[in-house]
Amino acid sequence: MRILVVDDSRAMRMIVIRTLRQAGFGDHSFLEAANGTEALQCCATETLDLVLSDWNMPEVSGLELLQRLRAGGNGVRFGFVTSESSDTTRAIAERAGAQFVIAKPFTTDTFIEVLGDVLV
Amino acid sequence: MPELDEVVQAFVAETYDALEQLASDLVALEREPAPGVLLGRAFRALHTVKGTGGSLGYGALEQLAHAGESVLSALRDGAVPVTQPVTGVLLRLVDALTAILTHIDTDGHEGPFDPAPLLAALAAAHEPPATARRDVAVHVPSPTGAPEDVAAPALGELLVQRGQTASHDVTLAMMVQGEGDARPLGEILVNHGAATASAVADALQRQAEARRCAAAGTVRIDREALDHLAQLAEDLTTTRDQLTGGLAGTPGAQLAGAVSRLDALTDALVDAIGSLRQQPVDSLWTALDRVVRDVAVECGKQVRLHCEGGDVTADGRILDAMRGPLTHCLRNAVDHGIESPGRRAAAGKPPVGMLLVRATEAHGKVVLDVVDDGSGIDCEKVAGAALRTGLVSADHLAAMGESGVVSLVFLPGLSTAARLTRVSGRGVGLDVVKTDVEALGGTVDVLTNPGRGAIFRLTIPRRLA
Repeated sequence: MRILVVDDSRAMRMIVIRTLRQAGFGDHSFLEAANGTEALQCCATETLDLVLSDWNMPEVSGLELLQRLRAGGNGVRFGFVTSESSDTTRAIAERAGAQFVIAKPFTTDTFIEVLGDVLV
Repeated sequence: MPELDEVVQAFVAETYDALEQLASDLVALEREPAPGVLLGRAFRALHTVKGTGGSLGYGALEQLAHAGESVLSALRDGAVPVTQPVTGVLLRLVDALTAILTHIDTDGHEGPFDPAPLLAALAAAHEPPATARRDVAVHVPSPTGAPEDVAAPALGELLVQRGQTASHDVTLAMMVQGEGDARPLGEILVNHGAATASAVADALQRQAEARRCAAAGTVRIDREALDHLAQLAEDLTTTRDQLTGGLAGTPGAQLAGAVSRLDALTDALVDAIGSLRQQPVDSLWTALDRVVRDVAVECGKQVRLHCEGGDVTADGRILDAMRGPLTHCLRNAVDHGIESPGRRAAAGKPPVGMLLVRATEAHGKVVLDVVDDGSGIDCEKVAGAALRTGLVSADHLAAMGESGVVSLVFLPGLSTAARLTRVSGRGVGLDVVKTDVEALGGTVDVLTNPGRGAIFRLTIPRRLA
């Protein structure tokens, strides 16, 4: 499977990918995007199985990214990895078509728990 | 020193950049009537420090960044007005985060930093304005309350190098520390009168700069530039194969053609790699706002900084080495050039002094001009000081033109005599600017129009020889 990790912090993208590997998902291939615009380009040219995106990013935010993907008919599985993890945020995320929200800081177990069903 | 985890390295590098931008945004905030965009970016910077730092287990960073977010929220919601004390506390936060980061950069740990006082100041800053106003930040222009155990020897070295303290004083101060004095080395030196506070602040800043440069040892490469390199390498390989494979029985003309292609390709490759090192000059500028703000606050002046020509490019290593000299010229211009609001008013000038940093490209060189609209340089005072300190003879002086006399400000030793214009106490003179710039293969010049201002011109090569 091909997983796109979107975050404006390169260190955070590395942490997410490392945690995915530690959680036993190392067989998948990982792509990275540093902002919403790059992510949209990537989604347009690559076949992806999952997008893991930050919420708060400059210019195109994670929520806008999801909304634009859905508006363009792209139904790729989408989850947020964000410190904006209030109930309101979760409700907005789900309404926009996200499958899950992982709160920062997270652990390997969180990833196993949330992604276990998605990434088999 | 243990090798740092690559994620921590990436975190340190990106966070140094983010904090530098944050400091610049906070300074801009003080004069921005519609601060929404700046606040948004500042908020996101702290948010990232909190999220990424927290994920890496850096609790103090996470806690401090969170407290800073609360202050920014209050500013964004209009609950607290943007005032100099509030931005002052936020700048102290940036200093503290930078200091912790410097420690992480050294050994992967946050170091023995006590966040409590700053957390209290941040909490006070987003209470109602009356409370915040009492908390006037006393600002020390040093980005590091650096971990002294690690920093001490290097700090002493930096001071000795510039003749700002004697090496036996550093040894003494370290002995005092060894006997259980917990104070930082710099403080001991200052207390014993072995170094000036500003020399120590300056050395700390240079130390942080050096660390940051080391952390910034990674370069981002444009994809197109990389493709271009790959293409050149491929062409080289093809040409080499033509040469080696077809040597036997190849007509001389074809051989000569391949050789000249090889020649051209090699040159192109060298050129392409050289241009990868080129970076826009504006990478230097993020830190300048803060420098000007700090010196202006310290000297009771009002100064507005403009930067022009940021898209001019030069070798990134040259630009890194220019941070120090450029910073000194700006400090000098604010401290010695620009007058106090009162004196400006008396001279019929607007109260806010103008400072312009302008980069232009000429004949393969980058020209950095630091232009101020202050009092200019008084040739007679410079000449008098040079005579008194014995730097030049009266005959020599008489033979110099006016511009020659003005250039005397770059002589070592005159900087102390320059106290006659104003007490600078920086401990570092323009002679160091000259030495540093010339070490890069550049030149320094100064032009002045007494009463109207001065231009310090630093001309540097675009590429390292």
